[in-house]
Amino acid sequence: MSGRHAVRAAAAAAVLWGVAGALALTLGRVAPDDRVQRAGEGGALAVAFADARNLLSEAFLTKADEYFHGGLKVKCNHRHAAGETCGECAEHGGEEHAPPFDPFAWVADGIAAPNRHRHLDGEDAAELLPLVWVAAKADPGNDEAWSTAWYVINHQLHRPDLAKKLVLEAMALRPDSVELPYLYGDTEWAVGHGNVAEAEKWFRRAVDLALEKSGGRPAELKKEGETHTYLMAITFLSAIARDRKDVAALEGLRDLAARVGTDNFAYGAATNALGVVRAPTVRAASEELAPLAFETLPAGSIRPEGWLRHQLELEAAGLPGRLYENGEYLKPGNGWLKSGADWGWEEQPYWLRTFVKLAALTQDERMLGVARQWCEGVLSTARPDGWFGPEGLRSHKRKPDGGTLSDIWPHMVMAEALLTWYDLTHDRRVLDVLAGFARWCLAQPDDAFLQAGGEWTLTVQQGRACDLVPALFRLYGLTDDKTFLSLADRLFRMRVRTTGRTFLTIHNVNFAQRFAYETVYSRRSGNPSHRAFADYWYDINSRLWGGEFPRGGFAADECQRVGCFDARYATESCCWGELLRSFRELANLTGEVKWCDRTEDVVFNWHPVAFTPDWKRVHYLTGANMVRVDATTDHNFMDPPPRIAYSSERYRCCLHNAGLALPLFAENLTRVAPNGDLVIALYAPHAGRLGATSWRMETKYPFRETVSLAFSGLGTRGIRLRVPGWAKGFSVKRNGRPFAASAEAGRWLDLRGTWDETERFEIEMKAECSLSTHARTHAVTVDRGPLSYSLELGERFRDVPAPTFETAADGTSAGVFPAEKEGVAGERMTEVLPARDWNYALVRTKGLAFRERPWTEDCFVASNAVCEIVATGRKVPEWTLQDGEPAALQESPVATDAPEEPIRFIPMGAARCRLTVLPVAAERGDIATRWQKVPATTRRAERPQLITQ
Amino acid sequence: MTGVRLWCRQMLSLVRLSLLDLWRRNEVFSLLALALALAVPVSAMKPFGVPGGGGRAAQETALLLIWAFSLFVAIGTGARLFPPEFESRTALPLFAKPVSRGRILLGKFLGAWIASLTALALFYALFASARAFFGGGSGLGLDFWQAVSLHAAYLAVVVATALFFSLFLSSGATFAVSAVLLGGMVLFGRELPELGREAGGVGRAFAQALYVLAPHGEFFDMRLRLVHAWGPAASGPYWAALAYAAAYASALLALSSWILGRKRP
Repeated sequence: MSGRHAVRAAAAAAVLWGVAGALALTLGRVAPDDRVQRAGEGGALAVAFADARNLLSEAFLTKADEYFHGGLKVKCNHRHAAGETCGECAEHGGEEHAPPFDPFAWVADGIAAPNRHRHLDGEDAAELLPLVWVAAKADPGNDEAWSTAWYVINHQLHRPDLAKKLVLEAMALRPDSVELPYLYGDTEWAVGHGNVAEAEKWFRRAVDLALEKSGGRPAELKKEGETHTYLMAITFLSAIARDRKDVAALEGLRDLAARVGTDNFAYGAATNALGVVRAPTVRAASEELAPLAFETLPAGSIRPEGWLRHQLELEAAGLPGRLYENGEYLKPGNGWLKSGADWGWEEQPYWLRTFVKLAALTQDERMLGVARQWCEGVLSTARPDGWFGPEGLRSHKRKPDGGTLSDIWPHMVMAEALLTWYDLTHDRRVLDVLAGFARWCLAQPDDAFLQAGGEWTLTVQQGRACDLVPALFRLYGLTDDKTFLSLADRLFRMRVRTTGRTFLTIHNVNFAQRFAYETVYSRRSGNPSHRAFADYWYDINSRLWGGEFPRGGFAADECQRVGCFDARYATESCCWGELLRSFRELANLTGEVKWCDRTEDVVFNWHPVAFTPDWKRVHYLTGANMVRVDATTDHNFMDPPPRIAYSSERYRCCLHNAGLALPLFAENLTRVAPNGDLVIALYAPHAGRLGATSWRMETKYPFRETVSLAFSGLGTRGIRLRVPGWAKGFSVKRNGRPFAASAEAGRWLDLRGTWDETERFEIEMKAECSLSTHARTHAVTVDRGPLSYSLELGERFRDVPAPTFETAADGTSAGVFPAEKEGVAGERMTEVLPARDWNYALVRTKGLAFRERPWTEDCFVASNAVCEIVATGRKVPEWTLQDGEPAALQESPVATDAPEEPIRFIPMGAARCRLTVLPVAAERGDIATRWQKVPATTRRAERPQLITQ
Repeated sequence: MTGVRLWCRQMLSLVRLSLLDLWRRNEVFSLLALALALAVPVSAMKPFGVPGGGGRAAQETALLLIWAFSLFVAIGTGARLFPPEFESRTALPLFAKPVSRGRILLGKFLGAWIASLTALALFYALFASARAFFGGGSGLGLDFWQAVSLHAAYLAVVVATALFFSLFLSSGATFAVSAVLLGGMVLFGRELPELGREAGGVGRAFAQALYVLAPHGEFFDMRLRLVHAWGPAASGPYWAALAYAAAYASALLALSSWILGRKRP
């Protein structure tokens, strides 16, 4: 054959194929009705080409499927060991086999695209469209081609306009299709955020068509998949009727589903929706407030298990759970318990807020009884004019003019405690008392409401004015009473404004509360600038004051001071719970994963060491580098010592408020989206129930990265799993087989499907050891997954009497323990002191080796550390203590002549003596810094002052 | 003139003849026009009104055409090396020259291979330009160069195979047999053991023999990797495939040389 002839032959073949294709496409428009043409319906030509069109269409769909899987035919050529099951193959119907080693196959497999399971998604899915387009045009009766094209355009490319156009085009060709109106409805539905009325119309049309085609017996629909589509349409209609609380429609839908039987998912959906409507747990957002991405479940929905339950039981038996027995501020006769009494401020609401949550989580009878006694007491203080609580708070004397001012800050805290009690009891008096109080607030003149007046306690209500707003939004959701929204508007209007300064507030707890205010209020204002507020201030604070802290801590030992950025400074224990409250609101509003990640950062790394391991003593400040938790050193913090030794009597606010973080974390583990989806926002062992759905999460997270989730009664609920921002891999198995995965971290992974009555998912996250580098000094923190690690220092606990402090002639001061007298009980404190040297630099190039250690539920204790990271370090002799803390870090890499030694890191949340930010040892080729020694003590008068505007 | 320089001159003149033979036929330009006529409409598609979705399909079409056309060119060039010489009796004066038959065979092989490589280079240059222009794939990454080098190595096997058959068959028959064998192995080479298992008996033995003896074109086919951005192949299989090509082509050439040495002109 000559080359010229061959080229001509190839060209002729191409022309012939082109003509054949054009004929097929043309005939596709002429005779669209059925996939397989019947004789006499379209002429001999159409009959002759019908099979060819079907084959062509199927071939292109198969090709599209290969493209979807990265160009591969999904089949198994993995080399399985005998008896081993390959989940990837099983998912696509492959079989197990174990071929012998074949060198030719080894080369061919190595050159060919790897047989890895991969899906084309997002924008890349557009690559499927040319193939699907040919498939649909070649055989318009191929519903799968249309639905595949629709899926790509609507769900991957997010072009509902084109998706609807596509479906309309297909419907013109196939007016009797059940699938197509269903797809149109799904497009309009847009996961519950689209045109729901229009969606309902199209879903209804799909149902009607199915009934019409089947003569009212949808189970007998002939075409493959049409019965399933009929049931799916009913499922969506049920969700719509559920949101409308339309019981009659739901009952009708349940009957329609029953025509296919009572064991199908649509019947379950309609039945579940009826249950939800009859006992509502999630209120649909009204036009007054933008919808939330998801909501916290009512108190009592979550039951902690595993290590979380152990910690909460310790808390219940410790300071937060027992403080009412002898706490100075919680004595009977305070104005929150006794109507008409004057005294009482924030301490009682702080404590009660934590206590009620703890009682709800542990279901401890003693605690529930005490909570009832206190909440009843608080409700009984309500006055006819709407005021409740201590009388002294409504009639402060203003300085200097002697006018009367109210203080409503403690009420903001108390409102949250009462709402938790409402969740447990559904006691309408809670709503009435808070509505009365809202009306009282609205009746106050501006110059007497939310004002400072000379006393420091009054300035607090100004700085924290919007703390009540989330509770007011919730109260509006529960009651439809716009009084609550009016008060929210007023509080927002009267808040302390941000005036473009370089910091939001210098007080650490005020910051933890205030940075979220505008964003939370954006739910009502709709103002994008308000919405961006939290990101802006959190970012600034984290970069500057948190720049040398891992995991959300920041340097503000009560307040921020000039130049005090170093990891030796600290954060107040109240801050952790208040940060978590803000993170909860922000996550619920925005649906952003980062707020959940930050919640875990705080709970796993910072909060556990706020208390002693038995939860019986608390301290005021926690730093990243805090190697001696002692009572007698005048540490370089803003407030006078002691501040870091643990106590059960001092640190007024933290004594009552520091226990909040863990119950708050626990009650926000799993949340619910407006469409009923369960949102697995945080990971820790627990069980829960919402309507007919119950679940159990078994895990040793954050110390291990596998999570087992079992559900029953899921019905049609979707599941949204948080893929943490640190995850290097995230995969989900359903009943032992691969089901979903996310290559991208910091996102939600939606699980949807037709669920069985019970379902089990195994989640596996991939964590790797890494170093965070802190930009100013280039010091590092050892990280792995959700945890940072601190140098293991061998903690020694010591019970000591509370010291008194004396100032020496040189201006330094030190604590002195009082002489202990037999039979005289004074205040006791707990010190935690290191047993080993701490002044190490990390040898960066020697690697980090992670090891699991024996498990115990008491996992936030250094001696019990359930995992560790082994590394190599070198001592830095010039790095010494200053005022009892490691001197401020100087630049890394640090020059040191000390030999290399193995060093061991334990989870930061287990290390009360902690060195978490450490320098990097200089190695060959580094430009090293020889550190300067600093004085061992400084005089309080010379220490950095508060930052000013 | 030293022996080496003489050898080089003889080789160069044979290579030049093959190059001239290929390019004066205009086959390559006809094929390019055909490729453009098929690939451009695919890349310009706006299926369902969505623009820019045809990148992979266009790339796959282009690479399929490159493979088909390069096989066509290499087999055609290889198949024309000896039969016309035998048919027109020009083999007599050729073999009478003071050049060994082995050198003639090697020179003709190199000529045909290099001629095929020039066509291949043109195809891939156009492909790479189109990719750079439309922004598809991973640019000229390692995977691209692996694909080109494996393809080039494979053409050595193709030319050697065609040359081998051309010692017995006419040009047309050589083209047909080589195309069936080589094309069949690219498409089904990997499946032969499975086909043999299903066939059983003699069919199985035949499939096994074919699997071991026939040239494995699939060793050199990285189209899916390129189109679907799977990244470069591991170095082990890559170098093994190159070694396979060198060994296979050398063995065929040695066998062909032995046969030619005993063939009457």
